[in-house]
Amino acid sequence: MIQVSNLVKRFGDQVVLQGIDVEVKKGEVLAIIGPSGSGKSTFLRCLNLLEKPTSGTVRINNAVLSFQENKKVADREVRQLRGKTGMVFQSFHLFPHMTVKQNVMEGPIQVNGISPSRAASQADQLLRQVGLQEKQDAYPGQLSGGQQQRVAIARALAMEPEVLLLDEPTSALDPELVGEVLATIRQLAIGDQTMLIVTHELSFAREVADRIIFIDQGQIVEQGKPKDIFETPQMDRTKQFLERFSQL
Amino acid sequence: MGGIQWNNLFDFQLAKSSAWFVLQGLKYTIIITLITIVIGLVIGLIAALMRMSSTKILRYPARVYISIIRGTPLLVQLFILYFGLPVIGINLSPFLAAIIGLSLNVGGYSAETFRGALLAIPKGQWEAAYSINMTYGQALRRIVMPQALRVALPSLANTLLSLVKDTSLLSMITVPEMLYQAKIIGGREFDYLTMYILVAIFYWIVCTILAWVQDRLEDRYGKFTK
Repeated sequence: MIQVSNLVKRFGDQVVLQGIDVEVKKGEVLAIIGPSGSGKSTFLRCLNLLEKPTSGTVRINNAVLSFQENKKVADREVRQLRGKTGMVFQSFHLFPHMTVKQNVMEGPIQVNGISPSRAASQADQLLRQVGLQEKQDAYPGQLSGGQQQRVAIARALAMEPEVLLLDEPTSALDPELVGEVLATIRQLAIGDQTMLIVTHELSFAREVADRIIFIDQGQIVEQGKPKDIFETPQMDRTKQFLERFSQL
Repeated sequence: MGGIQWNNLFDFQLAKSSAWFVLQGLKYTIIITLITIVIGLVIGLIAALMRMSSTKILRYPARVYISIIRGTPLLVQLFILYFGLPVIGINLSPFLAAIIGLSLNVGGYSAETFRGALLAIPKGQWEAAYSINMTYGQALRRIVMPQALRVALPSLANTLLSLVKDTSLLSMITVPEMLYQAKIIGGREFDYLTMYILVAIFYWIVCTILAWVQDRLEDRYGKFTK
């Protein structure tokens, strides 16, 4: 369903991703782990083109886009690919001037042209799903971080993305709020939502992911089933990384 | 050396009898302010977006425009439009010269206000808008602009107050606004002081009302940040 080939991203002289190849099947949950600055967030942002890859190809179902250095891609093509993705950010980025429900309805109404009444009933259902229906008229500033992140998940889901990209969804949260967000993501995983999750929550990644990818210095070092990666990592770099984490 | 003649400070009789004549000028102040603030803010927003563009062809003209407006006196700008342009065959009525001059002026100043306000909105808001597949226009109109306007509101209100007061400069290009009217009577009655104080009071009243409206607006639109 998703096929990424030879994805390269450079910022000036600095090579952040040096040729990433990944395939993801429909319904698969992929956790991307790795040290800070390894390029894992950049990789995720290249999939919905918030970062434009320097070169390589990204395919999501029937939308394919190839990148070459110094070659522009048309906005229309960018939006066609981006429309298949949804994104959840580390620091939520809810629209502060809109209520919770308006946040969820905004995309469907403005971008997809869905009628306000249909968007409203869809938003009701999504907010129920993330357990925040009673907060629908609150403004983001009145919510806890965990609640804001659950609204952000609902906002992304409202666009009915074929793949949901989550960029360290719990890293900005107080420890006691992490659980509620992870529970919501867990629920989506059970519900067959295709997801790519960049995370530092290794035990969560192990529990919820079908596959783990370990990225370091812009390259995939190792990938496989959670059990294999965590219990019998093959590469020294992976062992090192996991050891350091288990010491914490 | 007769000392200061306090009894000549303000002639209530004259002020009372000429108030209506001076207030005839208020309609020009109001009409020109209303037209100019609308056109000026539109110009300012466009100039701000051009100034922030990554394309040089858009960015440079905006920079030059803003620099000229902010770097030259408004009175000189008005003189060029009204007294200068006829030399090359462009004759503007006082009213039209006033609208053009003040609009360009408001545009130049508000461009910097808009730019600052747009830059104050976190990049994450643009990204969130793009992540639900909005176009640049949708992201600007629906997500970034409503937030930027709240940031810009105090500064734009100042622009409006300045504009109201700057309309007094239009007396120099023969627009019959309040100061122009006051000068007529001041000259006829040999009492400029009373007339200028009267005009100052009228301006002060108008600006106080506007400042009150500004407070109400800020109360209302600052709400979501709480």
